[in-house]
Formats: sequence, C-alpha cells, structure tokens
Amino acid sequence: MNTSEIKVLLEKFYEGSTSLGEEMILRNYFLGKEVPVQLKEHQSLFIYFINEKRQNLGDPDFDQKLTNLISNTTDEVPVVQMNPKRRRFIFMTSMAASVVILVGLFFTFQHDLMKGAFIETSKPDAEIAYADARGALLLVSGNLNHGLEQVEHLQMVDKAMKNIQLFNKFYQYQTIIINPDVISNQSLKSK
Amino acid sequence: MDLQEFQIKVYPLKNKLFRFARRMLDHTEEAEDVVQEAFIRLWNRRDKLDEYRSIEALAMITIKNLCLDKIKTKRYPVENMDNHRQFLENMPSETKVDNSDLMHGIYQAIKQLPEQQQIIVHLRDIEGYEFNEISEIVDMNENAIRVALSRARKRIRELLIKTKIYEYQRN
Repeated sequence: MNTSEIKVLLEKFYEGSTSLGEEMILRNYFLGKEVPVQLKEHQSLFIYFINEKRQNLGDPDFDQKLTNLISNTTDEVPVVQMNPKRRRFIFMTSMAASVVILVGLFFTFQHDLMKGAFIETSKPDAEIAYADARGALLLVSGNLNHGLEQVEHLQMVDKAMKNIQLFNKFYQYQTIIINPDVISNQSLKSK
Repeated sequence: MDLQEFQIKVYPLKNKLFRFARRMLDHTEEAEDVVQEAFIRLWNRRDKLDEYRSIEALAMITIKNLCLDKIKTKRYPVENMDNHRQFLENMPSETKVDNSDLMHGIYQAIKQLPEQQQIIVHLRDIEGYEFNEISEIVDMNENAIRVALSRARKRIRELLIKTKIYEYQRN
C-alpha cells in the first residue's frame, strides 16, 4: 500500500465510512516501521486501539471465583438467618426468665407445704383440724393464684417472640430489596 | 444451558466485557465487579440464552446497562487519575507500551467525548464490531452510528493536535 492510498483510506476513516477490512489495512500499515513523517500523527491513534484491545481482565482466579458464585446460586435460595448476637441475646433472656419463674414457684410452694405439715401433726382435734385444713386450703388456693400471676409473665415471653418474628420478616424483605436476584431465583423455583 | 456450556460459550467474553466496563467506569476494580455481576445476571437467564440471536450482544448490553446504572447513582469511588497510567505500566511485558504518556493522552482525549461517542469508538475501533452489531448494542440506527463515529474520530484528532501530544512522538 502506498502513501497516497493510505491517505485516501484515512480520509474515509475520519468520515466513518471505512469497512472493518479497510480499518484492518490501516492498522497493519501503522504497525509497520516505515511510516512517513507526514502520516506519523495518525500512527499513535491506531497503536492505541491495538494496545487497548490487548488489555485483559487482570484477576487470574476470576473464572474459579465466578464458578463458585454461580454454583452457589443453583443451590437452595439462601435462608435468612438471624444475626448470631441477637440469637444469643434471646436465648440468654429466655433462660433468665425461666430461672426466675422456677425460683418463684419453688418458694411459693415450699412455704405452703411446710405450713401444711405443721398443722397436721400439732392439732389432733377434728373440728380444729377441719377449720385449719379449710384455712390451709384457702391459703394454698390463694397462693396458687399468686403463683399463677407469675406464670402470666410467660405471656411476655410469647409476645417478645412474636416481635422477633417481625424482625425476621423485616430481614427477609431487606434481603429482597438489596438483592432482587433472590426474588427472581425464588420465582424461578416456584415455577 | 448448563454450567459447562455456559463456561464454554459465555466465559470467554470476560475480557471484552471488562474492557467495555473499564472504558465506561474508568475504574479497574469496579469494572471487574460489574463483569462478575453481568455474568451472574446472564446465568440467571440461562434457560432463555439460546433464544437470543447473539449472546455476545446480550452480554454487552447487560454490561452497558449495569455501568450506566452505576454512573447514574455514582455508587463507586473515583479512581485515582494515575491509575490508568499505572495500569498501562503493569501490563505484561510483551504488551507494554514504551510511549505510555502518549497512550494516556489518547485515553484522556476519548474520555472528553460524549458518553455515546465513547461507547461507539470503543466498540468499533477497539473491539472491531460491525455496524449492525453496534446498532444492536447501543440501540441506534447504523447511519446515526456512522455520523457519531466520524464526529468522535475527528474530535479525538483535534484534541490530540490541541494538546500537542504528537510533539512527544516526533522528538
């Protein structure tokens, strides 16, 4: 290719009307060493194009990482897990609550049992025994109600658990918003 | 499409996708992340990939849209201006450019073009796509692409002459 032919091609190039084949001719021409001074100013642009095409993705483990990512997405849709700190907190609170309830029940009934035993052995008279037994039963039933009040605190635990379920929902929606692909996966699965 | 077929047909596009993303985002690491994201999106559509006439065009459109989203929301940090130069210098020795100042100057000149022109120059002059392929990726008719390409090429030449970047080469 002589200089004047290249000039014509360059003209076409800047008009945006060269074919890929013609552009290839220009590239090869400018890659050569014998480029006349008058055409030098165009050379660097073509060398730039060729160099840019040689730039590749740098991470050598890219394929492996991608395969790992992809094979994970084919498995189950990730289950939304509660934050471990929060789980431990809930576990500890429920443990503490049950210990309080057990101790409460123990003291309430221990008091009644000892009282009952004392009455039985010290008052042999039937009438007094009856009256005392009645009194004792009333006391026991009264204290039993008292004990039940404590048991009602269990409902608080129930309530708290409900709130925690709300948290769980919140996390589910959050994940859906942050990572819409989970939805598309889910909808694919459901189909 | 199973994983093996996906690896054979789609994985080899990674360098093209990377170059395109880096051109648009001007950020090497972000570009790698976006390429990964694009592959995951393609994988999620694996059952429908065979219906497309060209998976490559679909991949390029996917990465273009991901990049445009990123640019809009500016959810990534701006890369140090020297990074491109560094990137050029860290290239493997056989592709290393001795006149990296000049190459960086051309990179900067292209960066000054309107976004659409940058994309068209990249697709045509670097990746060597036919006009009908570019038309599919940028969603413009072929004539409009030729006009934009001509404007872009002339503008690059003007910018290079203005910054006297060629002087380096002559000396």
